[in-house]
Formats: sequence, structure tokens, C-alpha cells
Amino acid sequence: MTAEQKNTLNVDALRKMNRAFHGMVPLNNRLGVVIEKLDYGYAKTTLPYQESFIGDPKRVTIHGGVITTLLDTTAGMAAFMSLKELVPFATLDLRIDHLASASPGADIEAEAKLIRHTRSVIFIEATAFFKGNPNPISRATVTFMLGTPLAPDATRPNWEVPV
Amino acid sequence: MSGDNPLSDDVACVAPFLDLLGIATTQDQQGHIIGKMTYQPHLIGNPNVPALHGGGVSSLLETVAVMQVMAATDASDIPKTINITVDFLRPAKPLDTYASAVLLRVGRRIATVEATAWQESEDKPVTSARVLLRLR
Repeated sequence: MTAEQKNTLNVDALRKMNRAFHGMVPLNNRLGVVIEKLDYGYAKTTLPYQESFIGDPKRVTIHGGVITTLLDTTAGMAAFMSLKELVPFATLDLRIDHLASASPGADIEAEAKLIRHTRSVIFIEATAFFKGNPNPISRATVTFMLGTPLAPDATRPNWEVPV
Repeated sequence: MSGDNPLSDDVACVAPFLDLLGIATTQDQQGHIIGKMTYQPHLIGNPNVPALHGGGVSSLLETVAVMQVMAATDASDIPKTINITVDFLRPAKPLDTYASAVLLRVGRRIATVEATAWQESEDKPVTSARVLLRLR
């Protein structure tokens, strides 16, 4: 199934998703990650610039961990949007190449896409950009391990996509 | 890890993002950098487990890798991260997290560093990372 064949979540659903997600993931809330678009195996987010992202006060550059957190998070959303059934999943590993220095001031956007969904592993590729600039600043490959399906009577985590 | 806490709580945070995450570093007598990320509720990434966000722990690992290289080279500029590969070995619990780094090679322009993070016991690492840094 292609992304086009699936309906993109509407604005209202995205707003609900943003609310649920911020209650759910405190660090994303603290950094101010905003979900822009969700689709099958796809997520796009924005991280509005904050001075607290600076990692090198002398040369005034953003800490690499800001990008790592954003790409990890966005990849996690794309992995969630790839699930065929509601199962817990955990990040196995991630690799990030910093293609350009992240000089501060501009908002950062991240896009994550499903590469492959196997029985036990989800592979996602994620890219970070400065808003309005098509040249990527960082690229990531993230793998997630799928858990076992939850029992029907289990207390489900509150992470259903509100559509 | 409470009895032999290698860090005093008043180690200054040097960069705004380290301040945000509550990361502080110190150097022991052998010159090893030890990083500490003090637990705060906003570091959580998955409240259902609950577990710390991988991005926070990755930031701690990148920080100790950078600081260890700076300590070894007497550099005044912070090396730039070319890439970082992070393995999440165990869920990071809502506890203080510690990290240290081993320099695999420090060349003239590039340093390759392995950093490890732990919580309750140093021989039970929660996350490990390989970091490639550009020195100049």
C-alpha cells in the first residue's frame, strides 16, 4: 500500500495526536517537538528554535543531542505509524551522520520514513533540515524491535492514534 | 550508585543544552571524564515502561566522548561530531545516569571514541555509543 492510498491524518486528528503525544513523552514536550504530518510509515515534525539547544557557547552551535533526540523521536513516530497491530516496540540502535553544522536560530524539521517492516524489526530512515532549506543537516538510520502483541485484557497504553 | 557518587552536585553545567538535560561532567584523578545526568521527570521518553528518552542518554554519551577528547588533547574548541552510533542495550530507568568514554584513537584530525552509560551498576551498561569527532 502506498502512502497516497492511505488518508493523511486531518488537522483535528493531528492536534489531538500532538496533545496525546506531549502528555506521553515529557522530553519532547520540554524540547517543544511539534508533529506536522503523520501517514502510513511516515512522520514529519518541527522543532522551533530555543537558546537552550546550544551545545557550544563559544562557537554558538546546537548540541548534537538535540538533533539525535528529534530524529529518534520522529523515527519512533514513523515506526508507530508502521505498526500492523498494537505492539510495544523499543529502539535497538540509531546511527546519525551530521552532514552540516547545526548553527542556531532556525527551526529544525525532521522527516522519517519506513524502509522495511519485518516480523520483528522496523527499519526507519530519518532526515533533519533547517526550515526552508532543502539541504539535509543530519541523516539517521534507526531500528526498532517489535514486542509481542498485548493480551486483549491487558491494560493498554494510551497511545491509540485518534482518527 | 549513591554511596560512591563520583560527582558533586554543584558541578557547573557549561552549555545551555546540558543544563536543560541536567548533565554535568567531572574528571577523576586518572583523567577520566565521568558524566552524570541527574534524573528529572522531563527526561522520560516512554512513561509506560517507564524509560528515559534515548535522545537524552545519547546526548550524555556524546558529551562525555567530546569532553574526554578535549581532556586528552588540551583542545580549547569543542570537536565537531561527524557521526554517532548508539546501541540501546537495556531500558534506561528513571534514575541518575552516568557515562564515561574510552578513546579508541585520537589522530591529528579525527578521534574515534566509545562511550558507555550505566545506572545502578557500571557492569550493566544501559546504552553504548561509538562517536567520530573532527578535531580541526
